[in-house]
Amino acid sequence: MTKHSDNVTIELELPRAEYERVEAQARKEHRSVSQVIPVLLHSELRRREKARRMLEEVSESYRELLASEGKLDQAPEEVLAELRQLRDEVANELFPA
Amino acid sequence: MNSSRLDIREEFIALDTNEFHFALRRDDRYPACAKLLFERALDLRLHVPLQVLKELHRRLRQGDVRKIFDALESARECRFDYSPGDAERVKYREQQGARKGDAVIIAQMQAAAVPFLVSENRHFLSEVPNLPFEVLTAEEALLRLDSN
Repeated sequence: MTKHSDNVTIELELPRAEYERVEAQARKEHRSVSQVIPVLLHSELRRREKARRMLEEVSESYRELLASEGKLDQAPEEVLAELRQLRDEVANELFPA
Repeated sequence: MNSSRLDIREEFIALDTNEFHFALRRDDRYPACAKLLFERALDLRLHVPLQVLKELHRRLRQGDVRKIFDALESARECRFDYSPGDAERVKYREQQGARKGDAVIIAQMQAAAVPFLVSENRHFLSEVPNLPFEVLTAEEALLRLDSN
């Protein structure tokens, strides 16, 4: 019976410096480079998914904050004016007149 | 500065505070800001100037600031820059007509040699001559990302 495989084989070109880092990782794990790359890729994709989830969470929290301040429907011009004021306040803290 | 020959995917790029603000509030009038932050920012080499760091600290809840920074650290590259910039450069930009806040961010961007700032604030373009970086809106940044 042939074992079903859902893997796809690809040809990959890496900058030499990155390849050497992957190779070092493979040596450390006693695996081949071709075994390590999918693991690294999987881990990186999970990390990015988590980061995107965190951004979504911050977005929800920020919208709650704005709603509590009655600013959720603020006009863009007002938002930009507030941000300009905030910018000048922070700048004055960094470089007092 | 005209950075049109530079590849936006390969260079460091800074997102202005207003980009975070419009993206996080999911403002329908600025859909490109959300698309840039939620879908593309992690593919970029991000530079976060001190001015933007401080503004985010002032505007967001403390736990949310931590989360944003943790998320940005998952980008292709992310550099948080804690240097305030050079006072003389700030003064020079103010003399050229920049508001103090803009003068500070220009000085910080210049010190770090970051060639792109994404901002919905068009004052940069109209008020300050000879900027040492290119200012793009989120929409323009997305176009550049897709066309390179």
